[in-house]
Amino acid sequence: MVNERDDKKRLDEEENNTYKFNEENENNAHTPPEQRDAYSLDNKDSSESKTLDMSVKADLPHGAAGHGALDMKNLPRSKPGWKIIFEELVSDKLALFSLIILVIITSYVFGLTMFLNQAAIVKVDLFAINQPPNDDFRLGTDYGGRDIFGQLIIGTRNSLAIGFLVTAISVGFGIVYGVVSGYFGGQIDNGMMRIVDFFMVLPFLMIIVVFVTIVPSYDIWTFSLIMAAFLWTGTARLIRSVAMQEKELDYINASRTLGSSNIKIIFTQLMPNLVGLIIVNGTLSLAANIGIESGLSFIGFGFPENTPSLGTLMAYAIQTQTLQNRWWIWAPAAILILILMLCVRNIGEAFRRAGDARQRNA
Amino acid sequence: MKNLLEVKDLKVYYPIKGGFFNTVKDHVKAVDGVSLNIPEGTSYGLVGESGSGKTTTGKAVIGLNHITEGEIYFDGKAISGSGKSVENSQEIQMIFQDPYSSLNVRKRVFDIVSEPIRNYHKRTKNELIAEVLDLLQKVGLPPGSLYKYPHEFSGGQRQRIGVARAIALNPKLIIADEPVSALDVSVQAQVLNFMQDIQQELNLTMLFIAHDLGVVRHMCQHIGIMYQGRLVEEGTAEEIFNNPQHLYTKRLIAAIPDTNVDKIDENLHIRQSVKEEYDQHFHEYLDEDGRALPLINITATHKAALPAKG
Repeated sequence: MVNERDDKKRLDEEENNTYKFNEENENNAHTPPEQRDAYSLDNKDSSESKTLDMSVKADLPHGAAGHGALDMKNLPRSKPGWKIIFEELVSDKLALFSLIILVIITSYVFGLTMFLNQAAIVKVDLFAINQPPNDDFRLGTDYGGRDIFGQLIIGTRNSLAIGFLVTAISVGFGIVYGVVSGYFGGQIDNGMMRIVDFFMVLPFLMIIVVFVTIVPSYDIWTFSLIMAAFLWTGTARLIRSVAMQEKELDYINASRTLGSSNIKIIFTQLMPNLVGLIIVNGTLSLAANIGIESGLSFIGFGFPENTPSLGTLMAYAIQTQTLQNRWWIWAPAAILILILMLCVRNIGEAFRRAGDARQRNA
Repeated sequence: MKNLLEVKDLKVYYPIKGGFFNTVKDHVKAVDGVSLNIPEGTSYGLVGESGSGKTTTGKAVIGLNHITEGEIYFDGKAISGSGKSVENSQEIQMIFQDPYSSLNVRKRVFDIVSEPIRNYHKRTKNELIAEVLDLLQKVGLPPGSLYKYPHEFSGGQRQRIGVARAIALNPKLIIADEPVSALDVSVQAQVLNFMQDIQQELNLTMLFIAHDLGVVRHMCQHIGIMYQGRLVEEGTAEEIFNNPQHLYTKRLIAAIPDTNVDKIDENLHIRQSVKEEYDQHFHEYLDEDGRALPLINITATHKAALPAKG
């Protein structure tokens, strides 16, 4: 009888041991050690053992301030925001590659335009029309004998500058407008959205065509402003809808009970949660705005031929002769547009992940 | 003992709009005439089913909800109740129900816990860090969590962050809106005990909102039972548990699970008899509009919404 009981006890113990052993093995296999302290309570970082730790420290002969100072040295350092973004970019090889290409293209284009003489490049030279790429003209010439390479460089600069400017103005304004409208809601939201509706029913293309016709000399700045005046509405509506959802969450209520002002809540609590959306929206807008500018120039209502852009180069392809036989005029511009858009998109993706701690690779 | 919080005939109505001109057709009476007093340093448990107006009452007290009618006095001062701005946020704080949505996922623990301090006091970075570390120690989180993000913590630990944030300004009143209902049962007791410790340590007054009577019994000296926006029974914890008067209270108490295996049949029998009584007689406890009857005094502290005898 006694033996039987002992046997049973031993068996139980054995079973327990194997169970424990398995559990431990499984834990080690499935959860990486650095994550365990955050989720499990039963290791050395758990609250209970830590409080014990502290009581020991509290006995030491220094005051509260000294105790804080002692702890501060052992704390993990907080990572600055730029470092998080940088690490995310480095960890994503595609984004890093895209960034390098974009930086090279941008700096090359902006650097070289300082030394290029735009007037000389856009001067008609009848002795050198429609030449394929050669030693004098690296990318050949168009029907007016103008150097395609020079036009491509200056055109890229103009297109990029317009894209960045229009995006900065329209997205920047749209975000603030949308967040304010969505956060306050009610009558304020109602009024602000009717203004958006008004801007949306205006015929965008028609007004730009009229503007281009009646304003005798326009430059990058005025052209960007007139484009941005119509392009902020989409961003504003998108951001407003998300802000309305987000403000119902308890962390906004919590911030209110903690005494933060509305402005503070909008810019320090709500905005960081919209960063992903803002970056995706900004990136897409940047690509789209370069496209819109090129499109307007393509149909002849962007910049005139003496102010080259990627769109004016593409516009040469309207002639079937050029499209079929003179690829050097339009192909480089088309490829450049493609590369720029892809680079901008890849970088935007990495930025978005950097803004959301749960999606980070680094 | 002085009453820290006095709520007098609180009503919170929400308009139902409809029709061609979007006019107000009717009202949802979320809270419909609730009065309660909380003496300083005690806990008051507000119990009721979902949608009975417990949370709305709590939010009206802190100023997150508008007040349709009635008055709320905190420490003798009236709360305006426009619902637009939060007053007394240095003295009244709230612990939210959902530890997942009440912490901003983009903020580190340091930013979250130091937010109220930064709003009201001027501090250098080092002072702030020392203060936040002190708070983290109080709620039993390791100092290493200072620069972690909320998603790196378990539900119970997140709720502790919420508590640390709520006690940062040394408030007098804490409104705990179902602080453990989103947590695993194994963690609930841990968080509750720790909240009790904090309450004793800081001499906090607490409005404890819950739908779990067992939790309330553990935490509170006074209990109010809500049904459809009205209080149906109010009294000390012993009175409610030992001598429930209202049928609804009886049914709630009968529904508390018992771990004693031998009493399974007995408890089942009690539950069924209470349910039968509830089905047959509950309409007597309501007036013709389906609202709970006004409260009648039973003892000095015990009130219940009972039908007139006879």
